Amino acid sequence: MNPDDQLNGLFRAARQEVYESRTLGLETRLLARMREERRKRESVGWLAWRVAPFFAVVTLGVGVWAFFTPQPSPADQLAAVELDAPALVYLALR
Amino acid sequence: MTAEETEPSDEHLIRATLAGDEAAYARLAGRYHARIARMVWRFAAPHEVEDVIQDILLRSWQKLRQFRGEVPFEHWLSRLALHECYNLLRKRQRTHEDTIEPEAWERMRDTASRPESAEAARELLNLAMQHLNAEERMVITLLELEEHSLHEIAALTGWSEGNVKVRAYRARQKLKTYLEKLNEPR
Repeated sequence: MNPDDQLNGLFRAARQEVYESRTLGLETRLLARMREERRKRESVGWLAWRVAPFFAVVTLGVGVWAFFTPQPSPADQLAAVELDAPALVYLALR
Repeated sequence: MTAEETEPSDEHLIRATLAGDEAAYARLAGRYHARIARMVWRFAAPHEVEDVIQDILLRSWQKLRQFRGEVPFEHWLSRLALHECYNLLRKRQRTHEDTIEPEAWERMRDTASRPESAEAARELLNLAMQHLNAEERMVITLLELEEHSLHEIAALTGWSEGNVKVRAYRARQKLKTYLEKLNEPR
């Protein structure tokens, strides 16, 4: 048999089959999934809202600490360079 | 009583959905469920059809704000459904393993020469279509099984008509090669 005819025959036969869709309870199932999705989305938003103040306090704390930490004096920096100690240079310049 | 009160339009249901009425969307989805199911069924395995439909309807709900109303909702939803089916085919292509048993091969050969039932024909076509890539499978399914025109397929997939035609030709060639191989004595 010619493969072209064979293929057309197969397509013709397959077209006869129709899908019996299950519409029973579709809306209920869909609504349940939509609510679940919404809850998930809301719970992520809720968590972000709850932890936001904590991170705000931490950020503020780091800022205050950086502001009040004494800076190394120029004499310290010079001494470190003169001693040729990389660790001291690093600490003094930090 | 007006028609709007008995059967609200798609636009009305979309507006209601966007305003937070989930039941309105469920009603809208119910309208197009059968159409989406017919499409999905051609691409998905029988056991995953309903799950894929649910995923499509859920995705469409999540993306509803992107619907601008430039095309009918049905068309927009069909395009989205087709895109999901395409992703499904591509995913399956990556995990595809051809496992045809010798007895199944004999059965398929009989079906190829004289398909006794639509189900058997579909089974054989599914097997043969495993040798096509996702794009070819999508085009040949829409063209030969769903009987869409080249123009409609181009509009649904976003590919040019020439591109659709080339893919359809390649798909047919590959399917014919597969059938010829099936007809060879083993």
